[in-house]
Amino acid sequence: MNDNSSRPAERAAGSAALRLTGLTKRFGHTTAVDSVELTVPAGSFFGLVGPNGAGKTTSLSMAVGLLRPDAGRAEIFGVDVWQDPMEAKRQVGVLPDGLAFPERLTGRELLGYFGRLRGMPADVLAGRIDELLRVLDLERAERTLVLGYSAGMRKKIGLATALLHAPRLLVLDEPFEAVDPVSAASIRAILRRFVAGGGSVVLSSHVMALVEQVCDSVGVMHRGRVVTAGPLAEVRGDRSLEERFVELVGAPVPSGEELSWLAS
Amino acid sequence: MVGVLIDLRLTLLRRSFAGTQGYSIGFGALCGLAGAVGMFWLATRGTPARAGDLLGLTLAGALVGWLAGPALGGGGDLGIRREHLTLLPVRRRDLILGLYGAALTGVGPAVTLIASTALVAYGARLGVVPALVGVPAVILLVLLLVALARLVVATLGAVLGSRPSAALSALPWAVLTAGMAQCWVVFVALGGSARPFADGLPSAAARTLRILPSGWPVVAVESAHRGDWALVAAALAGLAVLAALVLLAWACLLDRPAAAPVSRVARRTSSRPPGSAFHAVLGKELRTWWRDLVRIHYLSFALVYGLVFVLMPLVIRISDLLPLAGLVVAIMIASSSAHLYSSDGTALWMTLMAPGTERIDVRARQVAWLLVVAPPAVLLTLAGLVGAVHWWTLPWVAGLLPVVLGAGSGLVVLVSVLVPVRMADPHRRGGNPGEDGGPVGGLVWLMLGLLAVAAAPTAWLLYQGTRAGDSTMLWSATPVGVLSGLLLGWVLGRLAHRRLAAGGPELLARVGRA
Repeated sequence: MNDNSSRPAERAAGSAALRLTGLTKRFGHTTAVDSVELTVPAGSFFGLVGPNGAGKTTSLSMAVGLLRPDAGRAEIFGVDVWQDPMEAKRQVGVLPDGLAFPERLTGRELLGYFGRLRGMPADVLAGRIDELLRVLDLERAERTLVLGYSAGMRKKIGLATALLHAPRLLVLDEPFEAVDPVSAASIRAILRRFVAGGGSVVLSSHVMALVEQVCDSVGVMHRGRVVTAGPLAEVRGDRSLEERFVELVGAPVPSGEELSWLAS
Repeated sequence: MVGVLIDLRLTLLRRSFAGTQGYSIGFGALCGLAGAVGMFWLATRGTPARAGDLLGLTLAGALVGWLAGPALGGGGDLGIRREHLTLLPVRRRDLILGLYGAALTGVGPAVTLIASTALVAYGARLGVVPALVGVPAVILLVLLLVALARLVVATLGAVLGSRPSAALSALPWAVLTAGMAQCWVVFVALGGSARPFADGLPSAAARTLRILPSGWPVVAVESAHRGDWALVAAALAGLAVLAALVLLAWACLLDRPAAAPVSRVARRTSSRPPGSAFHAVLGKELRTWWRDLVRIHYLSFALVYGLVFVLMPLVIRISDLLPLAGLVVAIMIASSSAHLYSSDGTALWMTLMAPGTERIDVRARQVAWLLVVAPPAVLLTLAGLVGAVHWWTLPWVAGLLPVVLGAGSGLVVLVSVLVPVRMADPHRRGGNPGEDGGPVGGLVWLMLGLLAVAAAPTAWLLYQGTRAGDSTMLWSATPVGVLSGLLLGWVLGRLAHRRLAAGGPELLARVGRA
């Protein structure tokens, strides 16, 4: 139906796992995301960083088909998320930040529900659920409803729902927030293995050290725009990512004069 | 502190006028004002004595409304909670008064105040002094009603920690509201008429209504007219003391931690994944019905309401309503479950990530709803029919039950998709229907209206058939009811899943904005 428009785009997309073109979202008079252009090459481990309110979550929500953009396109492996959601969403696993699950299910029930919703065959699903629960150390919570999970456990069960159908691209919004160091290490290992096996990861974070440690490419968002993006070494140059980030975002350097009333 | 919290409440209130919640509040206010007009009409018509009786009756209705409203999700949430303020170094008394002041700032108290001034109008018929006495009486009554509603919310929060307590805590409100709806039974039992508004109340009922706290303002006004100043003082002081006692009880409960929602299941769950996507959604819905304390609370309310509604007339040896028990229960459950997507909140993202499953999602929710509602409704209907041996009611239930179940299953999903209401996300709420139920009161009335429209053709046939004694017409209601139930269940469900498929992200954005 959209052959004419999508074919050249598909060819141009080439090896991009995720490509955002002119993506824009306004809420009332505020432009949360302003013509975002971003290409995440296939096989890369991409970190999206930016200060609070930079538009990371809004961009990623539009990229995976959870929030309708006012303008622009989002393609996953060359498939337009909003034109052909069926095909695009088959290729992506998503961990949204702070959204609910069917809270009255146990972790196992939740994965069974989502796997079936995704159209996975029962025998494959049963094996994967067992393995995911074990690897993510959620087996002990067998009788706990997701409602009773801690913040870190919620992240882990969310990651399990993202991995379940073996997608080619993972889009993870703040995957390490509130996760304990041991679990974080195992999640990092899982993601590294995923990328080594040919998968692509896009994650958002505001922990620069973490992004520097795990990602090979980064994009910096500020006030709804991508101010820079590319291989990590190129973006940060000879400085740390944090220094480069502060330079790009233009955070005011504390002069030491502010808050003089504090502890006086 | 009091001023700060009232300011905060005013700001929240102003914000809440935008969007769906605004409509809900507006609709509620409109209903309340219509009630106010009715009260003024009652207060100014007929003999003063009868007007006093009827004011006592409507004020008792207001009392029941304020007691039961929050338990049924009638907007008990102020947007300001005790938990938000625990870390502030504020004196406890200031905190309590601040929260109380915030609770008094709202559409509900304002509408109640306006409606209750009918009492002043009633007093004016008796003289200047009774009218003047009516003013403090009305103010004290509103103070009492708001304090009572707060006490109800806090009590629910303290006791709702398990399935049995969720079911049991619906009992008093169900008995109260059903009893109010069937108060004519009491009047007839006391030797009065079944049409109290037309024929007046029996004297015993009139006396009882004045003994209830809601009747004390009427007592104050009438005693002022008679010059019985001791009774005027007693009635006014009684209202003030009672309000203070309720506030004290509320303050004690506020310091208790809220009961934690059930977050564990008794057994390790089956490791076999569901048989299909349809079974996956069906299983998820049925588990939610069984594990969500708020849903259990509503189910229990509907069951008890239905039973009290049909059993009460037995007091005056009327058993004709017994077969309607299932029908009443089905209507009550339908009207209190039209917020399926709002109560699931942002969990909708999972459905959106599996495009093409919208139809399955809606249909499985419909089937789950029917599996929850139909068995008790059918069982109660059969039990009522057999127990009462009023076979003349058979065509009525055989026609109306199918249409209510069918249309109900369609309406709950369609209204859920079309009219999302502001509710906290399920993992951010505590499980107290008084605070977390969201503004679902408007939805209840909307659903009652829509169900009435859906059942109108069937009901018309039944009415005409009964009136004309035409059994063909009477029995033709059964196939009409069954067919319209099937058709509405199918068509409304179809509208719902098409709407969901077309505007899923928009619905997610709206339920996520709470």
